[in-house]
Amino acid sequence: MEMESFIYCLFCAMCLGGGLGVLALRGFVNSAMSMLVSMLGVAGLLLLMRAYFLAFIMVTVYAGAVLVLFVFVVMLIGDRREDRSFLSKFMLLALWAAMCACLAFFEPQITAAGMEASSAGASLEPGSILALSKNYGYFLFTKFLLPFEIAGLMLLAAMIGVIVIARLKRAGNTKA
Amino acid sequence: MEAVSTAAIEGSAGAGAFLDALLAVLFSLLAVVVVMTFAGLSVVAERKVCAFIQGRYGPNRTAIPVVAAIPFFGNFLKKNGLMQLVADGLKFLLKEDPLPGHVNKFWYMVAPAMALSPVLIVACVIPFGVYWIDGQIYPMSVADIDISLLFALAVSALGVYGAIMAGWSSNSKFPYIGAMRASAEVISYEIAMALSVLPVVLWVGLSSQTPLSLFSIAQAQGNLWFCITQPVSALIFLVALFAETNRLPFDVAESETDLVSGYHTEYGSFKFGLFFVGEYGHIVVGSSLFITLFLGAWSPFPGLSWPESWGWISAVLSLLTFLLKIAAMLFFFIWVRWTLPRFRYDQVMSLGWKRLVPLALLNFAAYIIFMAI
Repeated sequence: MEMESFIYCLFCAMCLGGGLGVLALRGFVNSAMSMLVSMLGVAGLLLLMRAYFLAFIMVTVYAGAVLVLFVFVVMLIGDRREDRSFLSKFMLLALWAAMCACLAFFEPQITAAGMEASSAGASLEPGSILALSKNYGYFLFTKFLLPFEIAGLMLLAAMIGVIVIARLKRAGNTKA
Repeated sequence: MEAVSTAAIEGSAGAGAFLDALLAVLFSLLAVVVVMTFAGLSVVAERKVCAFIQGRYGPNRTAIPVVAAIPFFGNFLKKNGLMQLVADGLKFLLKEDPLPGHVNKFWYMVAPAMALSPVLIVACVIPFGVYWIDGQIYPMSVADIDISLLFALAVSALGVYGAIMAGWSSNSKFPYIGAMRASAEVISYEIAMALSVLPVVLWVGLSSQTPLSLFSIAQAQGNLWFCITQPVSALIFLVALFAETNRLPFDVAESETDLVSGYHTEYGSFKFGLFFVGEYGHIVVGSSLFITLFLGAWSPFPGLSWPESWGWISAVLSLLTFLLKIAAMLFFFIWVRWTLPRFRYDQVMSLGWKRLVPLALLNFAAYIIFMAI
């Protein structure tokens, strides 16, 4: 097997195995750590696609900050070991298997489409759109400005919602 | 004729490949040796400098029988506590390796490795010096990638999982509190750290094609170091660095006075040794980042750099300059530790969120406006 395809398989195994761990393992912290493995696998796949900037942003933001926050919250409220029923476990595993099957089925087509797009557009050498973070930022703020702003607005809405809920609770507590 | 020329090309390509492989091995060794040696030496330096600050002698009795008998050299090692280093290292290796009954065994075993490995990975991208081949300038780093700054920030952020998992898997109250403090502290200060680097990246972006590479950031400081042109950024980065590396005055995650020893309370022997090395390694790597970003990397004085015409002497001098700067930074870290008292946890949080983050944002906005003009 070629080195690159071996590494590709390794990262895929990390993604899928991590996903399986999130569903199957007991305890929130174990699940969160499986998610970390999965995220690192995704970052590795992005690296293989030469999307270096995206890969490291993925690690910084999701693995380095968001997941730490998850773990922090889990530890704050206590790591309750909930025992899921057999049926729900089975359903989750079935869902995971279905996702894997979808991936296995569509993967060659997606790869082929990607190859076509890349051969039609920019080359995969360093200096292509995603390899240079500068170009990445340029496209983010010109062609994809609207989706970017919408995503920002959604995050803002979520933040305001959290603040409102937290304040309501506190106000209720002081009254009672 | 053709055959000869292809042979010549192949020959030169072969020699080039050999040289590349040799340099790769050399720089990998360099990265590991620099981080590990400095981590080890900083343990001794910590005790010696602390003793100096407190008006004591520090470790000067430990002697290895045969080595200590060497005239002058043996005594030098003994008086400077360097044999204490060996003794401490052997102690970690030879002690019984306890595995408490109440811990989560898997994560308890994995956590020390999670604490140390990011440090060694980050050491790959740090340019410890420069060298020249055929008039081209190259950095002395294992991997010279376009976005090595982002790589360093991303991977060093993963180091906190070691502390979190250690505290959680120990299944004991003090480590648990330590782990929670560590995670909260790292999240808060990471934001300030990343924001403080942005003006530097923008500044370098004016002249360079790859502003996120540590090498081009270092090269851009040929005339003026960034600690002079961007003092606020440098200050915020330095404070955040102290917080990220869990050093006093920010070491709430393992404050001896209220948490016994924080997240690694339940650890002993070599597992504790790994945390210890990881912590000091983190300081070494963090100092290297600070030096590369703000202290002119391998240039000896602001405005000066080792000339290309000196060839390999210049390369060695650049490496030595960098190592000297790391040593100076380590001294600074130790100096601060034994001078300032520890902050309370709420003070750490309010400093991070209410002062450093707004200051970093203002600084960033100011530099955007300045550069636009």
